[in-house]
Amino acid sequence: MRKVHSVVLALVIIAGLIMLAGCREDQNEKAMFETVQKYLNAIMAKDVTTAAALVLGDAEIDLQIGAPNIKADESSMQMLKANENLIYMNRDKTRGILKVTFLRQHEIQGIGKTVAAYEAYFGLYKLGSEWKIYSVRIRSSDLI
Amino acid sequence: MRKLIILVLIIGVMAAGCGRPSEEKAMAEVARQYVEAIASNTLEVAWPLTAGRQSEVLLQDIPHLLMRPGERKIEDLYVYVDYLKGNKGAAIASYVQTESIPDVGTSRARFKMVFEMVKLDKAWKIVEVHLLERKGE
Repeated sequence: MRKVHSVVLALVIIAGLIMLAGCREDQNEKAMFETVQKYLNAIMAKDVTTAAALVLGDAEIDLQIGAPNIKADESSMQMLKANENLIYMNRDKTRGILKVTFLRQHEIQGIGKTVAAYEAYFGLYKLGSEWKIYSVRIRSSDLI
Repeated sequence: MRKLIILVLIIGVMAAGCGRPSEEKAMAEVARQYVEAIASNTLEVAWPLTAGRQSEVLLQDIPHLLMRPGERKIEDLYVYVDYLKGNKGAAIASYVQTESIPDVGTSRARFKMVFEMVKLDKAWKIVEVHLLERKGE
């Protein structure tokens, strides 16, 4: 009986560790998605300062180049809905690729509003405890 | 019988893991060659190491790369694979690049780059390259 108890205890511990690892991965994915949502909302609100704090590497360079056009854009944009799908996470859980599909409402004064669907791939890298975006690739989607 | 099953399972897991070091070594070598080739403008070496999106990016970059003045030297190059699943993977390269431009001067910076790769026809190819960090030294 003692041997059975030891085996059951070992199995319970293993199951617990597996669940814990899964939870941690979900937390990382959630944090990555939050970073992406903050970034997209900042870009759509033309808040380049907030967006700049969320990027590094290639994405930082792209934002610096695109900032004047973002600020000069007089139309207004709003994200209506977003979904995410983790493409992969690296071994140390410090880098990953997130696919995000979102709906964007675009309004031009005096002309009207449109809603378009987009599909984007974000490369994110964990610096310390914060996830930062290092690459962004957005394209129109055929969802609508 | 139980011991035989356990032995078969152990051998199976070992066999599955056996191929990994050689794949990772091949991926790291591709990333290493690419970094050195781009720094030295040997595009005939860099181009065959790419596929897909990176081939197009490199094609567009060729005039800019060939017209770059001065020389670049790569030191302290360290490459490791941080993701590998089937025929897709990624390697991280960290290196110091010293760039000397005549009549302008010398700059030195540490780069950290990501190379997304796929395995095509038994060879690893770079399909995307991204800058993670650049720090002046």
